[in-house]
Amino acid sequence: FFFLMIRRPPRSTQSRSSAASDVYKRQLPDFSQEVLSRVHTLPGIAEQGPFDQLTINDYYPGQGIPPHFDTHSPFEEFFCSLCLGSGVVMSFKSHKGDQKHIFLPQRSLVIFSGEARFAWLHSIASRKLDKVDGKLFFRRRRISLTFRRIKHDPCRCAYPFYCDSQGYDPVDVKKKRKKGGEDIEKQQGISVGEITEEGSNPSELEKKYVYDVYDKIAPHFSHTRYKPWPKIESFLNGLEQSSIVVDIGCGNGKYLPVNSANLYSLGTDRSHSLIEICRERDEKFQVFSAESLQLPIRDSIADVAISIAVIHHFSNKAMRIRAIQELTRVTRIGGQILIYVWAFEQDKNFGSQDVFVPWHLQFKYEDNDVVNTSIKEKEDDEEEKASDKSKIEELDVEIDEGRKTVVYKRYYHLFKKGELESLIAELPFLQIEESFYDHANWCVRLRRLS
Amino acid sequence: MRLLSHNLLMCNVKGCSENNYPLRILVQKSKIIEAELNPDFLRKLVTKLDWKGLHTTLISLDFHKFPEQLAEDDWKNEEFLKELHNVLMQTHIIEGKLVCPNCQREYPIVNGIPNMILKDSELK
Repeated sequence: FFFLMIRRPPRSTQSRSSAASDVYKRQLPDFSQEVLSRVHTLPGIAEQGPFDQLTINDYYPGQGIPPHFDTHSPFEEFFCSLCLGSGVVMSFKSHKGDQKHIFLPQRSLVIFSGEARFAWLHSIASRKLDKVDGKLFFRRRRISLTFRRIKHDPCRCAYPFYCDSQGYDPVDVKKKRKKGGEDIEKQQGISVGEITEEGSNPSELEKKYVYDVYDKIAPHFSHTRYKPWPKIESFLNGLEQSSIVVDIGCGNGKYLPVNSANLYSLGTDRSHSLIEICRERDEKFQVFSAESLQLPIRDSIADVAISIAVIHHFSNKAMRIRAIQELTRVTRIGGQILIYVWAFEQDKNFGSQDVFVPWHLQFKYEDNDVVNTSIKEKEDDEEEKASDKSKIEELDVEIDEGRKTVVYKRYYHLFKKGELESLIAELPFLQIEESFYDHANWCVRLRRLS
Repeated sequence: MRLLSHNLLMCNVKGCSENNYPLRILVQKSKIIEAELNPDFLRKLVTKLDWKGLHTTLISLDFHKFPEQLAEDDWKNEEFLKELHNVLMQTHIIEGKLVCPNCQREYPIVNGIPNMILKDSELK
């Protein structure tokens, strides 16, 4: 059956995604049939099947629509839009920051597919005129007819970082933005430059930009890490009774209470501060602090080992491999290993794989002496000034006066698609059973073989 | 830290690869935190662990009531289940030390948390 939706130009507060539930009438209007009979023969659209949803937008000069992309899962790949009454310039922006402006003439049809459909934001500026080839065009009242085909199975596109069927959660991301959680910190990755450390033990880089930072930010970090990710939750909920689960790099113990009636979970983290927070949450949590590259856990004793957002903190391949080796060693033959690492391919442009990601530690969580010190000139004692300055320099932090935060840098090696799999391919006794993208992480579920 | 968890641990200091399990326990303070007894859960869990090591540890802590070897019938014995549950699931070590029988490295337990972070010199 057919859906028809007529609406006024959306304001910025409205949801970007087309709500297929706003049903007005159940038939595509007669006047659209002629256009559709021509459009339905076009390559791509012919294979996809006829359009069965129509959205009509009515734009007065000066009205536009903010940057958005059409949610993947409700509709098939190809959709098209007929531009009536006036031409208009449509703007496109990619997640990498590239921009394009395309003039859509009156009575033209624009067809969206592929990368433009799945991974670029499109928008129309709220203005009364457009400039095309040096000429000014005054907009008239414009009516767009956008035809889509409703989709009934999950999206399997090649752009998982925007795909709601493959782990992208736009509503969740907006919530997190407001709470100052994970998403804000991904805004600027500061490139680290060349990593020259070769060894398989944590270097000064890990100590300064991972271990020390987590110890410092532990309470604030824990405050923003409260929601277990659904896929990990359901993985844990599906395990056999009495499974022994070790969470290597458990942070604030987010996954320790999952399915606790059935599982025996043990958590460990290199940050003793975070482990203390685990215990504050629940004194029954079994936790201890330890180095994940050399675990004080017996061989082959766990049914499952999980490593969620941990291995990306190691600055060279030798350490990352070693982390996976340790996960393997402690897991019994036939047991499973679940690894999540931050993806390079996500809707924030990181620029390079090795980055410092800022953490804004609110003043209330920070020591007074760090907050009160600034590198500005003061009328202080020369000696005091110098030692204060060196303390800030030693910590390598900045004071963000506007946001009232101390900014710490955390080191990340962002994984490219396939990189995690290629690391695992170098190790024996591991079989990749599942490989996927979830919430801006590349993930694998492994089986330990004999 | 429960004794069940302790059974999973070993010393992994550089060079320490033999006789590094089970770690000796010195208890300064322990606490009973009640938990619901689930016999099936307990049996399956304990069966995966190393009973020999568990038993040695229990003896060292003056829990002498448990057999050296487990038999099928033990799991049907309610008294046994209750006592085992009490000592493995309900008893938590709050303050103390874990000590490696091989290299004598001490790992402090403070507020129920063992700190097993190694020094640079102990890394392989």
